[in-house]
Amino acid sequence: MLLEIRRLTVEFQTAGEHVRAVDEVSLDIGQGEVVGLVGESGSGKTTLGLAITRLVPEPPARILQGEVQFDGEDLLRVPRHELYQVRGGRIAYVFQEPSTSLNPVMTVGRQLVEMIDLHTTSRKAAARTRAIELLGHVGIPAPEERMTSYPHELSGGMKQRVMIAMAIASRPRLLVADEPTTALDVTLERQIVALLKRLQQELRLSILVISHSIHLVKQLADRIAVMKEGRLVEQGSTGQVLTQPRHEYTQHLLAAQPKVAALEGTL
Amino acid sequence: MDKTPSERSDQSLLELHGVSKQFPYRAGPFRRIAGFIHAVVDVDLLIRPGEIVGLVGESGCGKTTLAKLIAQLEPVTTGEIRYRGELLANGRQIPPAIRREIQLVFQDPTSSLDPRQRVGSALAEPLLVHRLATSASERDTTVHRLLDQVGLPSRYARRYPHELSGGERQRVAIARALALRPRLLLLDEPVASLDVSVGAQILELLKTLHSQERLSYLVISHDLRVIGSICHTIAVMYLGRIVELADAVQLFRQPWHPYTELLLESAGLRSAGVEDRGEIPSPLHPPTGCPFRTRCPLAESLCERQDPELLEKGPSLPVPSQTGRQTGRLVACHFRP
Repeated sequence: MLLEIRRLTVEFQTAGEHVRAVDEVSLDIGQGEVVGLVGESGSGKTTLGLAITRLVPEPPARILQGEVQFDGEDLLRVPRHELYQVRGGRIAYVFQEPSTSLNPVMTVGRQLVEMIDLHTTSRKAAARTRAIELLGHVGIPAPEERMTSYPHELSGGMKQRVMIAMAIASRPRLLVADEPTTALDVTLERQIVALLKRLQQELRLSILVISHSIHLVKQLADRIAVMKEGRLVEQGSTGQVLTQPRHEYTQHLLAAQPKVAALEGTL
Repeated sequence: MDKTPSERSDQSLLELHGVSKQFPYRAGPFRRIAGFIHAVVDVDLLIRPGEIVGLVGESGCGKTTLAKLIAQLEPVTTGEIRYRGELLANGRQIPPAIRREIQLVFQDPTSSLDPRQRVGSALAEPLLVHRLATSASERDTTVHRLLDQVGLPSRYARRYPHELSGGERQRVAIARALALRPRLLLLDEPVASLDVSVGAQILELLKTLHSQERLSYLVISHDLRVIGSICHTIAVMYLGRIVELADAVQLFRQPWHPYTELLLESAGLRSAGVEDRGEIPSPLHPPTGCPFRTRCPLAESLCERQDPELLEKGPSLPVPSQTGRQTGRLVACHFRP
């Protein structure tokens, strides 16, 4: 197992109230495996993704208990300065809104080179070559020219490709993709899904894809975990969860997907 | 054009003829007009009484602009919009009695409701403005009826928007649109900001209201699943143009335009292995000829030279529905069907 989460519990304290955003969650991700984490807003899925590398703001959050075994060490117990090497290094993140994750006053190339410098020991020229290579790798046309572009000059889909290039720059073992396509049109979602699939195979990447969208998750994941009010209510292979959901909430989620009346003759 | 308004109103509620909208694009130190963005290009559309028409396309394709033109929130650049035969566009003063029959419901109920106004007063306000309820007791009765219609208890009249969930807020926004007894609701991404299970409830509510009130809807969404769950007729929009217009059943079973195919494929509703070669081009510099040719697997040199017209091709299928209407099937493609 690459990642083993055991009985992880994260609590938020707001206005004297304690809310368990993540409640005794155990989840495994194997080498090269794609796990989909599905739930509605407020289910705790984003908090879980962040808590793996202790990215949740403490306070107001507090990791009460649990273990996060990654590559043989418990990330909840390693010193903070070592975590900086793990985050964006062996565990990389791609978030929902690429516009807010990129620095608007810095060229795409500089941001990418900075990322490479941070996590590898390569020289400037080598870092630049690698940055161009990465942009090409994620399907950005004319990557060399794009190095000097600012984020606002790129479309939403291109920005998300840049974010993915930055994420894989450090050759991570695990990619946490939190709603990676929610800000994008369906057509672009399809392109990003194809890109993630290709990268996953080429780099033998493990991916934790977090989304409210069953449609997105089912295209990527080998296994699906369903989260509700901080708890994992069901997990299993993608086919099994989608066709024979055992938990009532999973059945409810699946039933809530809009049915195309025109295809089912119920118009 | 030679029919009298009363004749026309039997078959159509809303008609768009050659509607276009351009926005000036400013650039340079003096913010001079540097060009025009063609947000909506030569759109013809018909909505019949009781019909639910869906408008689908990617972001930036002009769907929201079109809704704003119909709602008279923006003037059209060219073309005409007729409601029950009455000309709306071209800077005419619209009689309030007609104005109130078209209501717009926005995507995000959080930003379209006044945070300091209680639900009851938000619902009573349009009644006051349009003098639909003169006494306070009449207003109260109407407010309670409206809340009941959208499935909220009457005690919600005393609540503020922040005390409601996203789904409840969208119900209030719909109730507010219903307050003026409209005949046409323009629903701009009605469920996009909601969780799927809440969205499903709102779609159910819209279906119920449609059958109770014999309303017409124009549903705008980027999501073909949402459009397909509720609409009778579907218009597919690309770079400001309608590229395919068909009955919902026809469109989902056998899409004609390659862009419709791509949308269906992307939504996981079809798997024909259509390749997608790029992204929607900037409306500031649209491609010559067919707007979709830069992404189209069928594109040839003809597409570069000539913009295909939206033409009626092939017969329309009679569709079993409560309105019993028929639609001519339109597509703008040199090679399809």
